[in-house]
Amino acid sequence: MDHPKQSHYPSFDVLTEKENWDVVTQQVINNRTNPNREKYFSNEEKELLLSLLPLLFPSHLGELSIDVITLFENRCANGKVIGYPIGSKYKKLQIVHIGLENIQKQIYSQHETIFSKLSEDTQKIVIKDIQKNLGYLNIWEKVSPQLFFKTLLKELIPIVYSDPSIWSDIGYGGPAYPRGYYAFGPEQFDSWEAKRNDKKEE
Amino acid sequence: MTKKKNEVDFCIVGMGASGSVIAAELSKAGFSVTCLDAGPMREPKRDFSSDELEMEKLYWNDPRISLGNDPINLSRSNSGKGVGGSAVHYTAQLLRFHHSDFRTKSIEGVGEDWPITYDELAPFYDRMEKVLQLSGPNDFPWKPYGGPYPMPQHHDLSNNTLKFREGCENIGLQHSVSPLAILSAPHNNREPCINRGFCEEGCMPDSKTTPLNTFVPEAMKNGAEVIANAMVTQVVSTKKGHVKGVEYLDNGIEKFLAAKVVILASYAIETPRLLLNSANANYPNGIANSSGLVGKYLITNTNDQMIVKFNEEIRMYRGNPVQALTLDPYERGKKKGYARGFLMNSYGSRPVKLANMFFDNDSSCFGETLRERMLDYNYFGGFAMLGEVLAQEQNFVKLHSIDKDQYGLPVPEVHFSFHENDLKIREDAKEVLSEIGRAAGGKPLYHLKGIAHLMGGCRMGNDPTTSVVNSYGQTHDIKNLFIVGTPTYVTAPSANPTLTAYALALRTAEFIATEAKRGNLSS
Repeated sequence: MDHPKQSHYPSFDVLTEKENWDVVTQQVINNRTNPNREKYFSNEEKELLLSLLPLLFPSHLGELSIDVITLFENRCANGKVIGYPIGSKYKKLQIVHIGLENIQKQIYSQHETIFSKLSEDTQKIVIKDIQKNLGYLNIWEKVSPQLFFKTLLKELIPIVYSDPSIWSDIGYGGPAYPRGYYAFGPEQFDSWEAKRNDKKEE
Repeated sequence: MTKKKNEVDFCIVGMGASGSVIAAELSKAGFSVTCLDAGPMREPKRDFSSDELEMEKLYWNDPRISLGNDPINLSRSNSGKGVGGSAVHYTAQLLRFHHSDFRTKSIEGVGEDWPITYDELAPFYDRMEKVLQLSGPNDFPWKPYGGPYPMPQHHDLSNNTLKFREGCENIGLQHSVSPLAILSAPHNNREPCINRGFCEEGCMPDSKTTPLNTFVPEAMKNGAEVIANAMVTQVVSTKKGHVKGVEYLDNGIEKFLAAKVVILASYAIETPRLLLNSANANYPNGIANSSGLVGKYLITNTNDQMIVKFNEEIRMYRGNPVQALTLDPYERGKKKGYARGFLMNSYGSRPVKLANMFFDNDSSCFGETLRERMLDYNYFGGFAMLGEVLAQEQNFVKLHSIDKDQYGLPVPEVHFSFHENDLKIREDAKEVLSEIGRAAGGKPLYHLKGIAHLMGGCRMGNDPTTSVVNSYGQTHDIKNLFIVGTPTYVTAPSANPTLTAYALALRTAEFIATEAKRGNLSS
């Protein structure tokens, strides 16, 4: 996939520094990059989530090193998604289930197929409509398209931005214990931090 | 105090900043103290990590419904679950309230006056600044509201902080390194700060001074018992004007703790929730609620950020998020046609928080748009404001009539809407933050709205019909029931609320110890 904007840090890989992190953090990141899968969603729901992911985070895909949907499923299964979104009386998980079901209902009534079988262009239009709160009123009466969209994204964004590959792309130093930071002053950085515009060796 | 079998002198609910100070002081005075906290007891080097997603476990993430015209985030910046409470995952900028904060009605005709003055609280601020080993500048520009501090100011300032100071300097605002409860030199076998930058995710090196490394161990050394993972479900009263203990769930098992005095130190949602849920025949509207104000006048601070893009790298992940501030706009509203004001400080965000804020402020900022913004992460500076929010009776906590949480307790339902004055503060601060950004050589790009801190819900006052507790946190209705911490706040000043919570807790502890010895708290 062509990226409209490339990383300032093409050669940086935060994971090459992991031996210098404390063991607790190493374990946390190891669990993130090699998760055990706990089943929470039905096969249909999971398939739909997997179809939605590349539309929600298009060019992240070549960069993501973690299995975002599996991590989301694990968080749901482990009771880490138990509250209500701000401004809503429905629980986050209720909204996700209802929203996934509503997408399929609407797609079926429009195209007599399921979301994953649609063309990429049509899928993109569907996502844009959901984000803009457009949907069949009789289908989205309980949970609005936008509430579903915001609720799902609020769960996925923290996972995506907890990916060491994304950290590398944005040049984020990542875990810094027990070393800490010691080089201070304008444009002064520690030797192990990302170096901008450093070309990858061919 | 005369003691019945299996009865403790004091039961403290919640072991955050306020509860832990009171536990340490009362146990030191020789009383028997049992403390209950809904979350676990954590050990920084074992239970913390350098990771934003993992450390969300420090927040109170139990279900809370947030409604109103401006529903507020009730998790990240507004809660803590576990011994140490929210004081485990904050930036530790510790500031005093100002004289005018206690007299907003008299001076500016808004809010309500506190039943206590700055001068009455000042000796407790002095003591807490020393106990907490605050680091800060030799010469704090806004006297008398800081210093001299026991520890020198932090010197390794982040680029974000340097830019903030440069911007302030160039537009004629005074600025200073922030007073922080973070060690700038070794102390009591604890290491000084190494600028790791995860202050809001729990300080793994333990350089931040929190209840976990001060008042909690002190209380336990004095003989206080701390029961973690104990969710209090009821304050028990059997006759009018007296409470006799609390019911709690210990790993799902219902237990009762008999106490001569009950002290609620469980922050601004859980405290009113517990009082309302403890309604009985004597108190059909909830305990200590003869005024009908339990849960009402809930307040927060506005806490917006201006994300400023620079041509050079800033890397705002380095060092404490908040390292420098200006208090110049604290009462700026008087000149600008609104009431009260705000402060500003440098504010560095790690990637998860920043990406979240981008999306919170603009739901079209996802996918490619979000990625493009985040690719410039290292070129962003973050400058923040903390604004006063006026207390309004229509902002409140109540119990949901049907939904229950994992403890079987009614879910709290919070209603919040901003006052017109709050929005004026926000708009004015946005302009000044932009000005600072430009004066520092950057381009202000994104104004990210946010809130932080919860206060009110059981406000203090001299009149029992318009307040829930007196200035010591003693409930007007029940002399052996106290409420401490930010729920008792009458207004929500711009200064971060934690130092005031610590100082008020110390004052309350001394009052309680004196009154208990005189037998004034017994039935």
